[in-house]
Amino acid sequence: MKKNTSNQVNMNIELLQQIKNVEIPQHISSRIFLNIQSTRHRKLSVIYVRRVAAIFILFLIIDMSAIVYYHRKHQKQNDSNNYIELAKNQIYNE
Amino acid sequence: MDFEKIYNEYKNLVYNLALQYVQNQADAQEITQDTFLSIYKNLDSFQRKSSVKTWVYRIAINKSLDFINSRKRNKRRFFFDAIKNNQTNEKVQFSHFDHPGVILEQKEAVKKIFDAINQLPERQKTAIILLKIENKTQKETAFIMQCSVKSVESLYQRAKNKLSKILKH
Repeated sequence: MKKNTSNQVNMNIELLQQIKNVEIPQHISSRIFLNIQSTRHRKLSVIYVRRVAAIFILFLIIDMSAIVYYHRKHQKQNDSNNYIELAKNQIYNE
Repeated sequence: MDFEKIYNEYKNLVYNLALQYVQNQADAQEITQDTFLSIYKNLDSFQRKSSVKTWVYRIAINKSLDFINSRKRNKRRFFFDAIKNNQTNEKVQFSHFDHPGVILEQKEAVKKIFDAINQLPERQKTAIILLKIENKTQKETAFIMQCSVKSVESLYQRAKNKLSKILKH
């Protein structure tokens, strides 16, 4: 009985081995390549967006540091002007 | 590595492998598309630890199993929705047997075997497909499935036993 079932399974498996290989339809190939192309475009656009964002952030940082630099410089000059003024007043008072 | 070259070399391999998993042309086409999209996306990160063919096999197997699991999840969700709406009498068929590689005279018999194979656990199903339909050696199957030759042997034996039980009913 057991041998019979085993034989039946083997016969079924032999049937599976008779399955033929088939070719993929041409329109599927075109669809796959279209999809790949749109993925490629998306990939490229993501790279471009990242680059533009990086450049924008870089300019922003440069701008900010320039503003801070000039602000400090201006403040220093103001401070030194104030000191000169103060010294002048002191000398005048004396 | 050139994607187009890989595609031309392995397109039929992937399509036929997907057909063995889902036995339906439309589903196999979808799996093939997913597989090649994944190959394209991961081409840069392919580390050449295995051959391209093995890598393609692994991706195709994973995509096929993912597809089947997502179908099962949808089926379950649909079933619960049907219970909620009291429509359980309506039987919904998702994908019918449509394997172009099977000759008409053997269609019924092969469908019966595939129905039984579809009831096997994932790894046993993969072992049967690779060993008996794709005609891979045990060593090749073990390499694709990333396990030992002994594991493949035992997976195949268990699959055969289970198949005989299912086919007896």
